[in-house]
Amino acid sequence: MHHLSLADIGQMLQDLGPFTAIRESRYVYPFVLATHLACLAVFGGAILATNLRLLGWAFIDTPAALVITRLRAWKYVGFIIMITCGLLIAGSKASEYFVNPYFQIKMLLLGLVGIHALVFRGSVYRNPTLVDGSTDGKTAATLSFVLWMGLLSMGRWIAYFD
Amino acid sequence: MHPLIRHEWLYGLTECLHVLGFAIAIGSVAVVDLHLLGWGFSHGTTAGVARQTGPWTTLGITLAVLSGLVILSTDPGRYLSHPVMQAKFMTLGGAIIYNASVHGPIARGTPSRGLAMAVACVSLLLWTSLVFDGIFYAFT
Repeated sequence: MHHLSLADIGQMLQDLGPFTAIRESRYVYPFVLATHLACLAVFGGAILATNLRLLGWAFIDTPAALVITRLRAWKYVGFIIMITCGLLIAGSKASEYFVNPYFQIKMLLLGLVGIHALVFRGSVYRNPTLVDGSTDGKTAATLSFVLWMGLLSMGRWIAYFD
Repeated sequence: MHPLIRHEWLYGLTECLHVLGFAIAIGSVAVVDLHLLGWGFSHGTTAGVARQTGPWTTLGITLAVLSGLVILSTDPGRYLSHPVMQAKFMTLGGAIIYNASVHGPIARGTPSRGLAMAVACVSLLLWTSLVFDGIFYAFT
């Protein structure tokens, strides 16, 4: 009996019309990849600003809760564009990506980013009375930096697996 | 043989530092641009935000340029003669000059809404186009 492997599933996915078109295009693939990275840079600014505020290293003239609230929309927009581009990139080369350990670690880290958001939702990110310099805030910011550095590194490292 | 070619992990690490550097640089500039566009997040003035993000922009550019030079040194002939990379160098020079002579003074002053928005849009375009240059270099 033949078991469906991750590579098989990836192959079926990347054979879909849109993914094949992206893979075989000369300009769409690099354009999507560049957009993915440019998004990281621009919207990474919102993450950087939030974390710096939580750590008390910058923007201390504004309450942390306000900084978080005002930057939320930007993070959502950035995240949606980044994920969309990421899906297109990974989907178009799914048979290679799904079995790539660095891609797998990256997806694991992405899951941890989601868990991080849920864990600190009540105490930090949706806490209107967030106390300045709270341990929860500092922990959330530090973990956020670590997770994003990991995502960035694993993203780059995908290209090094053969 | 170039150390980065001999040790592939060193090449990867340098590329990671390059991405981290430009993410910090562009992200910290974008934070000021958000304020110029009127979507600010701080009670403080744009000048105050720019003053606080300035060191991060400098840190990010330094990291990106140094790691970029190391990557370039693996194959200087191809990098320096490639039209996309030449465009990237010119854009980088333009972006740094623009940041120091237009973006900075406008952020520290009291520009009209229209001028502030125009300055922010040009800034975002200049900095993000560097990312596109880098990727398109690798694909052409």
